[in-house]
Amino acid sequence: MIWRKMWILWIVSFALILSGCGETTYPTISKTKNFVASVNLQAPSISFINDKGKVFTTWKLDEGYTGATLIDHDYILLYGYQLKKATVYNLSTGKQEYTIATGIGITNAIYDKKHQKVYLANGKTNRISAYFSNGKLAKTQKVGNYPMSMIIHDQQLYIVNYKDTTLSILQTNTLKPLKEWTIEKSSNGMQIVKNKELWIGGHGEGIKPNSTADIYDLQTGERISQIKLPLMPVGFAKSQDRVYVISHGDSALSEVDFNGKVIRKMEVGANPFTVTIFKDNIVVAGYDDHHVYFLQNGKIAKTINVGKGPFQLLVRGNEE
Amino acid sequence: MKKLSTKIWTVIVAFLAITILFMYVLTDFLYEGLYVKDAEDSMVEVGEKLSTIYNGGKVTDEFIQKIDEYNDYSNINVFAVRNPRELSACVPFDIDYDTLIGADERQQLLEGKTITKKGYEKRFDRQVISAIIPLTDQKRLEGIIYIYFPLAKITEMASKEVFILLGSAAIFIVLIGFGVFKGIKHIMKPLKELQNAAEKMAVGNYETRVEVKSKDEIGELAQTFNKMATSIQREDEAQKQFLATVSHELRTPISYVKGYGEALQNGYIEESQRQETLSLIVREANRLEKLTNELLQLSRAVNQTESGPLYPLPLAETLREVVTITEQKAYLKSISLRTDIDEDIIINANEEKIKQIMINLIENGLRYSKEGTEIILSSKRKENMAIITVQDHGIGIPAEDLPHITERFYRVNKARSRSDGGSGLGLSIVDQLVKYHKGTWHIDSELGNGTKVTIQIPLIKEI
Repeated sequence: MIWRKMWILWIVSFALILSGCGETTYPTISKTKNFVASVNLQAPSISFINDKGKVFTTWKLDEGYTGATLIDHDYILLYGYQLKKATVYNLSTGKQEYTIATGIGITNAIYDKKHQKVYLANGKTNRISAYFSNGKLAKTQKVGNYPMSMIIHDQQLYIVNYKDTTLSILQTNTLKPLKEWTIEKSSNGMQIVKNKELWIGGHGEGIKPNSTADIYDLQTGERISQIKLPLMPVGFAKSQDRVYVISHGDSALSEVDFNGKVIRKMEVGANPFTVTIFKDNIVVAGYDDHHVYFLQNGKIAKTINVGKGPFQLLVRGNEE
Repeated sequence: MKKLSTKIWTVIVAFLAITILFMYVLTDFLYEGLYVKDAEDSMVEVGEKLSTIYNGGKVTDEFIQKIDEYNDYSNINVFAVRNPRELSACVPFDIDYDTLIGADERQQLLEGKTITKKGYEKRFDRQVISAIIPLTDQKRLEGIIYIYFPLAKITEMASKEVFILLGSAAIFIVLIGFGVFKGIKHIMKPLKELQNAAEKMAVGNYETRVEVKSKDEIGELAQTFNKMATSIQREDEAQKQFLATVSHELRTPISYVKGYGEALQNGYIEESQRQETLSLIVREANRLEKLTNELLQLSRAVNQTESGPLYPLPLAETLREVVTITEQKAYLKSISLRTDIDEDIIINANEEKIKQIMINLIENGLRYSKEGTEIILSSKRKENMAIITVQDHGIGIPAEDLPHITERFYRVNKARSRSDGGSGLGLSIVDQLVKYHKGTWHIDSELGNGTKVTIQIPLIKEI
């Protein structure tokens, strides 16, 4: 019995030593390299894809990360709903830079370039927390039930409370509450259009799937119109004159002009949750078929195999 | 102490309870294994046939309507689902309601696998067996066909009527238990009687017998018991008889000695008769001595029946010595002793005891033979045995007395006369000593014509 206990003790201490010493190092990604990266959930990994539609590096994640966001040009923040801390890695060295003691419940993260702060939404504590670039907590603010989708516009942080019927608006940096609008429950995905409208998508409440994007007046918070779209529009991407909306219920991508008129609809991927723009490609990730699609002129130009369950797309290089 | 009947009863009732439990488990197993499996198979078959109506692309209203129509005419419940909310399409997001299929099931369906399951479904609020057939197009889960069949599980059924079930099982066990109790009591009755009889025997009631009613093992036991009781009773009586006889036999010479001794002491005997009286006293004392010697011999012989050292003995020599010893007596009675002896016989024996046998037999012969007759002593070999015979031409023994001739103090002459000089122990001693040598013997006799005693003693084993 004693020997058995000793063995367990040995194994545990060995494991502790291993985990303590072994900060994971991932393959490096050169600073000059632009990419679109898919964050894959089913077996956590990140697939880095270059502009030719080729996966040039894959990070097999060692923890149950559920999301990531890019910080400046060379850093990536990884977080997980069940994880007690988020970790920031340097892309060009592949090494860990610092960690943020978030506590469990992180649903989303967004980087505020102007104030060099990261805002993390927590679905357990229902708080938005701002952190400095060294991982220290700057400010925290309570919002509605289960904050998730976030977008920054004009020094205002718009937060969709996923399990609530409210949208919270905070001042960036100080996190001072500014306004609260009434929106549909289970909303997800936002886009600012023409600097005066906020488009919000969603899954739909309960058993009933949603099939509209609701347009709110940025100034008044009034819902001014709705766009009829395929089932469950939850992802938005904006180009010069178009908004691309991904509807995961119908696996459909809609091309909408700034006036809310649907120009074109097409099926792409299986159960896609996210759309983004990378160079001159519209990029869609199919959660169920484990593919990332590059589209040009309404046609699939490239189909790329990525890790299981691509859920999020991160882009570096659109700014240049 | 627990009674045997209680133990048997407990065992039987326990086995019964186990049997009932086993039957229940077996029924449940068969139900699961056969009925449920069969239901699942047929549902999957129906589902897969229905899924051939689907031609890819979006699941249409028309398709859903067709499935609904099928459902109207079918005895199983079937419906098609295309709502992505129901199909766990939103799974990476937190879902605020119960979907029809779970995330893991969705993964299996995406791979084109059919799912069968059994258990409680919250949606239908009951136990069901269900089959889910995926409708996929280019890795998109466009919909499913969901088939289910309400499952009146045995345990569910039982839970409704559990008291009836448990109650009837309990009553059944009680009734059977009572029946078994009565049955065992009936079977055990003779045993009880046997026990009572044995107890009576133990306190000395040797005439106790049990009534044998059955022919089973207990019946046989009762029969054996009765035999044993008879034997014990006979032995007991023989013992009493023996004691009575011994005292009687001893008392007669003692009373002679005492009577004549007292007469001498008191001077009632005349001078002229004194010598005769004294020799009478000596004769009776001799008889007393002989009797006690023979009793002693008999008791030794009885004690030594089981075993004793035996050694190679030349039989001819021993027989000649016996003849020498008995010749004088024969001469006195004018009886001749003739021998016909095989010189080469060597038996496995004890010399003294063989002599004793032969002397007893010859003296017996002399005692009951008339003057002028002869006694023939012969020995020969037959297979592994030495056959020794003593034949006289005396008065013979009546056939009805032959079986009792070896009993102690048994006399053919019922008058218990001592005129013949026999003690009634001689043949008993012979019997014991022959047995001691692992031999056998028998008597052939004809009344008035004489008696022939034949003894068989094993030869030494040839090496």
